Amino acid sequence: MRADREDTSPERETQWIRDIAKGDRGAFESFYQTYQSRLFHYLYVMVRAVELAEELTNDVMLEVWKGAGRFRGQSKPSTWLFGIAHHKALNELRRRRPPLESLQALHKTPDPALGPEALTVRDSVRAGIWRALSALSPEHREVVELTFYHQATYQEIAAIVSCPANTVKTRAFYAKRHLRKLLAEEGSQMDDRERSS
Amino acid sequence: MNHKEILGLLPWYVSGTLGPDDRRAVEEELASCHECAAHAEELTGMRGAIVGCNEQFPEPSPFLLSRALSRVDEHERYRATEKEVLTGWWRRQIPVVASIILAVPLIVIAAVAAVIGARSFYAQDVASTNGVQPVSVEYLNSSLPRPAEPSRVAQSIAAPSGAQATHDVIAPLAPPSRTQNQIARTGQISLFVRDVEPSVRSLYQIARQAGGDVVGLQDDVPSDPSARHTAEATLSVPVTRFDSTMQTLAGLGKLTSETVQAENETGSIVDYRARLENARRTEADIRQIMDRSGSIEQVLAAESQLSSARQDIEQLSAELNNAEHAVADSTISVDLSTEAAAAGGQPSFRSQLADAWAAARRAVTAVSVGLASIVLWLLAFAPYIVLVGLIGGFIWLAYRRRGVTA
Repeated sequence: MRADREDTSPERETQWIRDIAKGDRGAFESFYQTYQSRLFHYLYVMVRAVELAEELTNDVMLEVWKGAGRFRGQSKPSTWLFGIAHHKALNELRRRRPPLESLQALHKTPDPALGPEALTVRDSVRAGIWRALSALSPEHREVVELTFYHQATYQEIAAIVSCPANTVKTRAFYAKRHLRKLLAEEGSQMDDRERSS
Repeated sequence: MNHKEILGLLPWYVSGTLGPDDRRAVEEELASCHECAAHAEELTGMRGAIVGCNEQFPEPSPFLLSRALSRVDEHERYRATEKEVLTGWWRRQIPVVASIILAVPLIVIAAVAAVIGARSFYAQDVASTNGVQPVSVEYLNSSLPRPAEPSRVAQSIAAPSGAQATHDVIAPLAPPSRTQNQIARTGQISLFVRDVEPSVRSLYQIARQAGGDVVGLQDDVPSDPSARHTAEATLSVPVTRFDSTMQTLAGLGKLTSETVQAENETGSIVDYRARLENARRTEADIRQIMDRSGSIEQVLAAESQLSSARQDIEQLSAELNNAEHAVADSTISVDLSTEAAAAGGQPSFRSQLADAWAAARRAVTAVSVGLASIVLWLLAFAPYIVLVGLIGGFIWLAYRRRGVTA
């Protein structure tokens, strides 16, 4: 799995976790900054609400602080971290199903290189992808997100979600089939809207 | 690797995260399979769309790290406080202590149920399997004063047959007072002994030591050695030695039954004496009449009356004598019998197997009764157990929640 910072390695991250276990706040900050963004993205895709994803991000990081002593180094630190995040997210989804946030949440600062019409089309397409992604089950959404955005191997995903590798492959296969169907529906709706306008 | 397996690897191929072997296999398949190539192309487009979508996701708050550090500080403060209250070792024991608190009442209930079940069963079992009825002392004449409470008296005698030397016998506390009442007491006692003949000799010895004697004996010696040898004896002893003799006799073997009967003869003796005195006066009066009268007819009539009075006097004298004798001397009937198992010498292999089987069945029944008792006790105490469980659960949840909040 890739990290946000390019200057880290699994060995260095493992050392940070050992230092965190000794109460080293500096190591905790380094580890936090390395994974903050990706962890938040993963949790955001899972729970689809910004504030909840932020709260869960800090919940996961606090678990890292409290449970660093239990990390044995048998897996990569990222796998261990996302494993904690996976259980936190599923627990949260079991407790309550947060509503899908509005499309405005996706809008970042507009790209000045694109004109207004191009921006509208791009946002429309991305909103469609987001809706399709959100329509997947949490298990399928998670595999798609970890595979394509977080670049996790299927072995790492199997360790994160605590299931066999073949189950991960099966989930990815059905997620892709479902996503293709959802994206086709989104495409036809966009065509209809264009024709009506 | 077959076509289906290659299809399963395509998402990681387009992400560039396959291992060298998997990647080589996929590339070989893609070169020859148009379907796989089309899937790979589709997945590449999907990946681009998803990555593009992700890159437009909102970024987390810039204050998220400082908030995380605040929570870390809060957690550390809580842990420091907790350490002051509970050291690390004791903290780890909290679940153990909670489990013990929950388990102890259950174990106590189960143990009490098992003990009660086993004891009640054992009491029935011993009485039924030994073939020996519980020893009882019966006071048949309810008009007589009874001992306030039976007491256990240990009596040891040297049994010539080597029979059981020491026995606990239930005996009355003290004989009822006979300063005013004239009471005739009889007793009956049944015993299992190892050997009847020496026990019969002991009966004579006991009776004579008490100032009485054996007044009747029927000894049924069996022709078959494996059959039971029984004997019935009747002892007559002074009433003042009645209780001690009964106790001594009980020590001859295994006591199976004991009966004491008492009759209040005071009224009968007073009645006999009064009637006897009256009859004697009547006799004296008739004699006076005979002395005064002169005619033959009158003398004959007086003699007839005198004869009748004498008969009454003799009869009343005999009855009075019997009553006084019954009060002065008590009669004790003794039944002696050998136990069936003892009579046969060494138990046979078959009988030992039968005994083992019977013992095993009794044990199974006892265990079953104990388990059933436990279930019933648990059912009866279910509301309390549920209550304890709920309280324990709440404590545990509160403890965990405190840990998570911290």
